Amino acid sequence: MAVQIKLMSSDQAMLVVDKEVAERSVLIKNMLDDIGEVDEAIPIPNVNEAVLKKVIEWCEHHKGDSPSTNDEESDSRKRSTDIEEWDQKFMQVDQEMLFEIILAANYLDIKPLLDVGCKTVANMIKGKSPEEIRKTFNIQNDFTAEEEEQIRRENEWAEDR
Amino acid sequence: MSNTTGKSESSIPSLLGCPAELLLAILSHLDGHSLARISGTCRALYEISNTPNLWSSFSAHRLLINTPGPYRSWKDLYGTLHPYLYLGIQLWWLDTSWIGQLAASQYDPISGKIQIKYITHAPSDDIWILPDVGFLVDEPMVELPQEGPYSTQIERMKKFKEPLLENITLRSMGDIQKWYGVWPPLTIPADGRTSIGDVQGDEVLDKVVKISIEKWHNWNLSKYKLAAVLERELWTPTEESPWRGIWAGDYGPHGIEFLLFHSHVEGIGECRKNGIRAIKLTGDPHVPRGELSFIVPDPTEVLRFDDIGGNEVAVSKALGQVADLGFARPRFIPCHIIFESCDKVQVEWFFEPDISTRTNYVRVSGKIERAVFGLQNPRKV
Repeated sequence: MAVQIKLMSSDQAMLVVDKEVAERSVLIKNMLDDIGEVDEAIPIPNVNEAVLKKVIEWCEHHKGDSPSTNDEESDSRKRSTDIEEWDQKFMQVDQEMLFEIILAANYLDIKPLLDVGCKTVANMIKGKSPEEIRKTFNIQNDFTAEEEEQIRRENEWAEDR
Repeated sequence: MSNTTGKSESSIPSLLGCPAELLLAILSHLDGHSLARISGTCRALYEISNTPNLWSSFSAHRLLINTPGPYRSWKDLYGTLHPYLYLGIQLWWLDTSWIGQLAASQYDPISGKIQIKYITHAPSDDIWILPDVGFLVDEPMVELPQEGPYSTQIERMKKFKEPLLENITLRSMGDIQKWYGVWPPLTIPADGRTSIGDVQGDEVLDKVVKISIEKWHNWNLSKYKLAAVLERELWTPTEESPWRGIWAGDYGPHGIEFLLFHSHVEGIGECRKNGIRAIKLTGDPHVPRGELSFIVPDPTEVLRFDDIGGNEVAVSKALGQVADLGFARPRFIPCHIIFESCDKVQVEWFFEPDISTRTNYVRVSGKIERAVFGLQNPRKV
């Protein structure tokens, strides 16, 4: 039988998961490596139950994935926003949950999940006008009229398309 | 390990609520146009979307530069050069009439323009001296973005889809006319080819373009040229394929021609062979560009050893292609290839059993590599 561990969410919910699954989180893996076997629940103070469950669901599905390949950084990094089908469906949540997942993935150090989250947001931005982006993410336009005109000129090349 | 969620207790998670490092991670997945648009939404996003690294990642590796000068910022550079960035710094093969040409796309950090320059050689009868095979013509054929009266257009071509095309074997000369229908020709490997005719695909190619120049300075051969990237790996030798490279050959009255020695492993086990196909990058009125000049079925099968300047050099069997004017009656005749050194070979063409002539070839990839990538490129691309 697989070794299981307990996680305690910020709202005091206890979740039991396979160690292998939980170790998709580099944070948890390092913790377990440090403290060895534990009976007590590991506190995850920044993530509530609903989000933690969602994150564990992702880790379950991706437990067989090969360890994250070190994508070449910076310059040659891929701009691709292709997301595999299962992940796309997984990310069909409201915006609040989407950003909760991104923050949790960042905190728990689950790079591939963080990537999927960031790509999902990037896809929501792509192809939209500034006004449409404001609407989508509930952003207030805080530019003065002059600033707006200056930025419009700066970005003129990006308008036609 | 740092706790970097940076989330204040009361805030509902949102785009603007994300800490800067996460916003940057999100924005790094955007194309330049989306990045410019999101910068026009509010002050906070304007600030962060102007982060230089976001913008340099579009161009630095393509143009092999570390600073955006003469532009004020990487964003400015992108705003001006984005329609041409796909050209990058590369070696291009042009279909110019039957002759063919080589050219390089480059970035001039003084003018801030992307230029395309021809690669040529100084006139010379003696190829061994090789005064200047593979140097760049100073005056660019195209300069982008352009100013002045010339209206040059560079247009990405669409991928030609015909599965049959890829299956034509190199020996089926009956299909040879079809080779002229696509660029680059089927003799070289390529991810995508375009049709010279009006057969249209959907996929746009980054590596095959059409260059239309209204006013020709040097040539009046056609209204446009198709150009295809010659990938560096195609002409970089490997341990397994040491003969791979760009070579110059002296074709007597036809002058110096550039060839690609294409070499790859075929077959398995005992039958494993690593043959050479010498493809003309520039051609002549008999055997034009894109056609095979000669093939060496198995360079490791040594026919005999010759003594050249006190050195024992291996000689192998080859087949050379000859044709009448206009590539009429193309046919292969028996040849020998003499491997003088790793950068020099001779081919002896037997027109009759006892009538032969020799052509000399020298490897010029190194020179061309320096001409194309220059000193700007200390690292591997």
